[in-house]
Amino acid sequence: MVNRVVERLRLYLFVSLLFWVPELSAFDLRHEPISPLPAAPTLPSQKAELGESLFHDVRLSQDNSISCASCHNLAKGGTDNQSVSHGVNGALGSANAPTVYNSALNFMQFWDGRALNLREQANGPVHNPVEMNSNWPEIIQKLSQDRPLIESFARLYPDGLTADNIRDAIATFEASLLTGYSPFDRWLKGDAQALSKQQLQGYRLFKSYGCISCHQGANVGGNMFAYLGTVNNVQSYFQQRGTPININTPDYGRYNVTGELEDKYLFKVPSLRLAVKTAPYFHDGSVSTLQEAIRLMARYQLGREIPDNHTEAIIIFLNSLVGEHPRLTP
Amino acid sequence: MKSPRLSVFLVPLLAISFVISLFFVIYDSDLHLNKQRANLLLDLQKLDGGLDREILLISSLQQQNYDPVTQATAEIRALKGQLIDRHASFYGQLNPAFDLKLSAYASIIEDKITQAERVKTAAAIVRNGLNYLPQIIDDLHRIDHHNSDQVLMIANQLYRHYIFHSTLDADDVSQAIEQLKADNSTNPDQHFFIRNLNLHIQGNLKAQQALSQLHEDYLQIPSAKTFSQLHQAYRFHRAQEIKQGEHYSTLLLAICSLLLLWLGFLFRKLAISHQSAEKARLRLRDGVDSLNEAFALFDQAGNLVLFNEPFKHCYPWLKVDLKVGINRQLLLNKIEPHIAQTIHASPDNDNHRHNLQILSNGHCYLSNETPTAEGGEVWVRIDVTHSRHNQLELRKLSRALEQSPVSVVITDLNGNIEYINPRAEETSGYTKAEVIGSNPRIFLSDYHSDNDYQQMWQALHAGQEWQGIFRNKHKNGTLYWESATISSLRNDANEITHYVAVKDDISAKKQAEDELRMNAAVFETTREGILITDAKSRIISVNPAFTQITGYPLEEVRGKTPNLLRSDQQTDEFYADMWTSLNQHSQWSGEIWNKRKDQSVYPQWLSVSAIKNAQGKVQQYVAVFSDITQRKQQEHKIRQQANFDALTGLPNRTMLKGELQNTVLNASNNQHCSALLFVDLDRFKAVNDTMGHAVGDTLLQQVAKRLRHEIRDQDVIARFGGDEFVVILQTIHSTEHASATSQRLIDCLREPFDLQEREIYIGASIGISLYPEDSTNADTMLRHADMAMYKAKERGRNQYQFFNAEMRDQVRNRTELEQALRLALQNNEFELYYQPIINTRNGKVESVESLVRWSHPERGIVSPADFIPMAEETGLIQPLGLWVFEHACQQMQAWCELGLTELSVAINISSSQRHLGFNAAAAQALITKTGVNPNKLIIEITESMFLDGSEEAITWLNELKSLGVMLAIDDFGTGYSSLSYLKRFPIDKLKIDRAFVSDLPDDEDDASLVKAIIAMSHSMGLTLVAEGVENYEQLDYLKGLECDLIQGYLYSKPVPADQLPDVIRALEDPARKDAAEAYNFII
Repeated sequence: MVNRVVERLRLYLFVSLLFWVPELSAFDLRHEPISPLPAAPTLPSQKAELGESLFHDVRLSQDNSISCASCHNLAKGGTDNQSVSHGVNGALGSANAPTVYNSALNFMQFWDGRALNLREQANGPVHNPVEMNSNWPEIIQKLSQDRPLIESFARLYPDGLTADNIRDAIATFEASLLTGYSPFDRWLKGDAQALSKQQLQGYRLFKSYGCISCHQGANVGGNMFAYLGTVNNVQSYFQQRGTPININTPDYGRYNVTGELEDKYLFKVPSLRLAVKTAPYFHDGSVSTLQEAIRLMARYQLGREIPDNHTEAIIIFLNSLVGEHPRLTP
Repeated sequence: MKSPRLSVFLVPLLAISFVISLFFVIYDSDLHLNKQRANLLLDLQKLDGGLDREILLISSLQQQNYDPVTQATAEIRALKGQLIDRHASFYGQLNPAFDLKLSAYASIIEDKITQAERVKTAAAIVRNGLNYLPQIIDDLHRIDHHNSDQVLMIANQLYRHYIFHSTLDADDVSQAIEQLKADNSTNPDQHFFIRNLNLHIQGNLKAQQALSQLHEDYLQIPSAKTFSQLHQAYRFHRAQEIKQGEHYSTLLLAICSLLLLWLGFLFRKLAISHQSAEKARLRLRDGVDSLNEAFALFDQAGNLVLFNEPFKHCYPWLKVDLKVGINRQLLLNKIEPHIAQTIHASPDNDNHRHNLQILSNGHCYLSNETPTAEGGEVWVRIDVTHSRHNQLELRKLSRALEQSPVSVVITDLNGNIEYINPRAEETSGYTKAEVIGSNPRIFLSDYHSDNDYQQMWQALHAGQEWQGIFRNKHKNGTLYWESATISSLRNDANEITHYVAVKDDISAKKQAEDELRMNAAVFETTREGILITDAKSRIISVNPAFTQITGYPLEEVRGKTPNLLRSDQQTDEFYADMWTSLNQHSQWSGEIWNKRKDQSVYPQWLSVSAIKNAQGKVQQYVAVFSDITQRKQQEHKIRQQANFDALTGLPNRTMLKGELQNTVLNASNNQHCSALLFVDLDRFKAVNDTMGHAVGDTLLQQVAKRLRHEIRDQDVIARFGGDEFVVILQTIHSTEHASATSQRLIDCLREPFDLQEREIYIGASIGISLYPEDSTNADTMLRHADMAMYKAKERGRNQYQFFNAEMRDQVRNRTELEQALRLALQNNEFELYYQPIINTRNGKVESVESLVRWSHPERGIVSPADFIPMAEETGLIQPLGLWVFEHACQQMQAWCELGLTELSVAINISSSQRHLGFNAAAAQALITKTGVNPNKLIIEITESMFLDGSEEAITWLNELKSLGVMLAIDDFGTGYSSLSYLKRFPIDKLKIDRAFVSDLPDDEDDASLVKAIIAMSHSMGLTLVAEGVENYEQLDYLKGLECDLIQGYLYSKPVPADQLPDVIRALEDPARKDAAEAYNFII
């Protein structure tokens, strides 16, 4: 009898929840330094489709060996999980490939912010001799052999196949790569059950240690520059890394773009949305585990040593940032 | 007229387009663009403010989510991009000064964004410091109660500093920290905490200052000021534009007013011109109506505009249809059925039509249809019914004259031509234009006398008719005959006004008569017999030559068939073929044997033609033939002479070649063997020399007869030349057959010959070559038999010899050597050696003789005795000789440069080289090329060069000599030439052949010969060289005879060029006077 009452109560509760959940979305967001990911912009899907095929098109590289997806593998969190990427003819790149997911939300592109948007970004790998080692005239010449592709461009762009339009199509596709509907986003939108206790505890630590100062906003980072070694001397970072600073590598950060001394070691703060999926870490890809990355960040950015149980807690929180995208988790 | 009209249209047109463009200037510079720009500026200002607000929030730590500022930055950057985009609404559109302001503002915005980024980074640091401080105090509190109060106080001071931004508070914090550090310097546990605290607080203070400074700097960026400058500049620009627009509007108004005035003026002008046009129309109407001719005017569309009364009368059936406005085509359709005939009076072109219209009612109009300038048409009709009737009559008469088959010439009383008809033009060759006005004398040739003409004129003046024949001259010079009738022409008053000559060309008739006469003469006089039969082959006529050849006069053969001439030499088929050809091609020719009246048979060349009438039916046959008996005989003789030896009557060499080729061909086809016997008489020369040529000839005839007797009919015997005979045995069954025949031939010639009542004994040697064992073609067969014959001769007389393997090897060896020799020149296998020639008087080396050596890569050194004759036979001596000449010269030049300037070089030239074209010019070319001094060059030639003693040889030598070279006779004494004979040639030196030197001084004959030669050559001023001197006895003897120069192994063998300087030095070394020593030294 008691069981039946309990069963019934459960049913009522479920039904009432059904009505209550839609109401939830009408609630104000929780007031937190991190905001939920916006819905993917309603972009022209045909262009995105074209962009996706170009994203996987090896003809963009000099010897037809490499596509955008070679280094930004959509199933691997939008990176290649390598310290530095391999270019044409096995050339080694100089910087760690950042994830392409949510990259549309970044305030600038590349570690040193040398591109203002995704369209500009596409020029970088294409021309880089250790990446695709090609150029637009050469690419257009190759793509011009492809009749269906030319027809697609003619359909979508008044001026057909041009470098601008290739960049636009790829950027359009990339802008659609948003990993929304993460547990954390759901929690932000009021779903109290979305996060576990441990995750919430991790989030508290993330804030109390001050990680949140830089890793905030919808992309949990990606909207400001920060010095590597804000608190501690940056030299000791490079010393512990084992390889000296090389001015030809991206170690100097934004200085390579502006030439201003005060921009030395200034880097774009990376997004932590898919941090748990995009090892290794840092601009040089020198750190292979998230634990080590958090430990080094605390030491150089916050001037603190962080106990292991706190590191683990923060990692548990970071897991709750991973959202969904058909290409990420098919 | 044109230019005012043009301006009437052009000026308003220009004005209107100007007005329209003015309107667009005003319109376009207004509204749309301005709105866009204003919006852009407004948006920028708003976003700029928004950015300022966000930065203020961040720097005051109010905002920790940077997404809004990132958003603002992106938007402001996008707007900034539009501001300086050349393709957008602003940049480059107004003026350069404004562009500068745009760029300035854009760079300010960029600065601002950069500064904003720095503020973001700094704010994050400050925020973290503030976040950490309570935690560190908490940590401290947990381990050390005592200091925590102090730390708390420091923290309070710090927060106060954050609130009031007071430097005093900052200093207090620093002092308190220092104090804390001093108090706790001893406790190591606490020391770590204090140090950490110090680090963070100091860092925090610094970060706070940095943030304040950055924000301050951010606020200092004069974006608002720059923007207001930009905005002001734009407003100023707008104000100016509006002002300008007002100007344009005023201008527009003025131009519109002017245009209206112009329009009014045009209207007025139009009214006036309309009035005057109406007046002109009425005047035209009046004029047209007064015309006698019918007149109609159509406009551009083909509608009748104007016509007059006569036009109505022209086509009376039109009646009511004829009115203004009716279409021309309609009118034509109504007129056409009534037109009986239209005669084109002038060449038709599309526009102007001048016709003669004859209506079915008999009226006749001259019709003119002419296009007007407007594009319409004018019709004019003139009634010519009456005059046309007269004209037709006249034309008929005129045409009769024009088309007359006889020539008609009309002259005036003075005889000047006024008219000739086309027939007369054709006959005389002159055109009407050429003869009008001239005298008919131009037609005349000088055949007729003046008297003839005087008689003619007398008759004409007397009013009589004159008839006669002219031989006239055509314009192109040919003569023709005309019969003429000349009469006088009288007018109504019976006065003579003209003379008319009616003439007929009778040249053709005259010519036919002449030809007939000529043909008869040919028929009568030709040497070829002619026979004419009717279609049934019955003889109608023959000519005298026929009678002469056959012996038959016409009377005997008339009515008979030519069969009576037939011999039985031809078959019936022959005649059948002949008739077939005659029936098909109407003609036949060929050689035929016929019979004379005296029954003798003779060859004739006969041509028969069938003469057909117009219907193609045969009328007659004409046979023409010539007696070719004599020609046949001559042909036979010529063939005989060409192919047979006149003396023996045997086939000659030419025929032999042909027979031999046939034999080889037959043997090869029928797979049997043949043999060729080469017979050479022994001792024939002696008979010839001792008993004379006549006896020799008789002997040869007898030999031929005996040989012929011994062989089969099928075999061939030919005289090959001189005392050589060749026998071809067409088929042999075994080699024994050939040897037996040979033996028989030898035996028959061993028998004595009776000549001039003496018994003469000769003999023969025979060489045999067999087909196909020895050779497979005619030439080699002959050559091989020849070789075998020589072998037979070597073995003694009266022998026969087969060509054998040894000889084949010889041939092959020779062929190979010849091949190698050809390659040797290409492969540079030749080398020149030089043998010194010493002057006996001073012991100096005066010259060297160049001698060619051939070292073959496989055969080794090949003897010059082997390859020089071969080179001469094959003609390779020519390139080889040139090579030797050039290299010897080069070497000489090289030595000259080494200091051997006095050394002469001798080069051998063979007689074959002369025949192959080596001459002074070739030598000169090489001398020039190498640059040698020709005076030091000696050309050695052999006596054989002079054997023919021809003028060419002397010329050849003289030309060489004229180059400046010295000439030497090599191998002197072996030939036939005598010393006195040599006087004719420009010789400098004699070289005594080694044969005379080798036995000196023991052989008395040689010794006296050499003595004589030396003495004579001295007397003739020739220098003497002794060759082949090998020992001292010879040397001493020659020195005793005052021989000038010595060459031989005693001094030196021939040596390569590079060794020669050493050899010369050794030979001339005073310390080595002894020649033998020098010789040994060199060995």
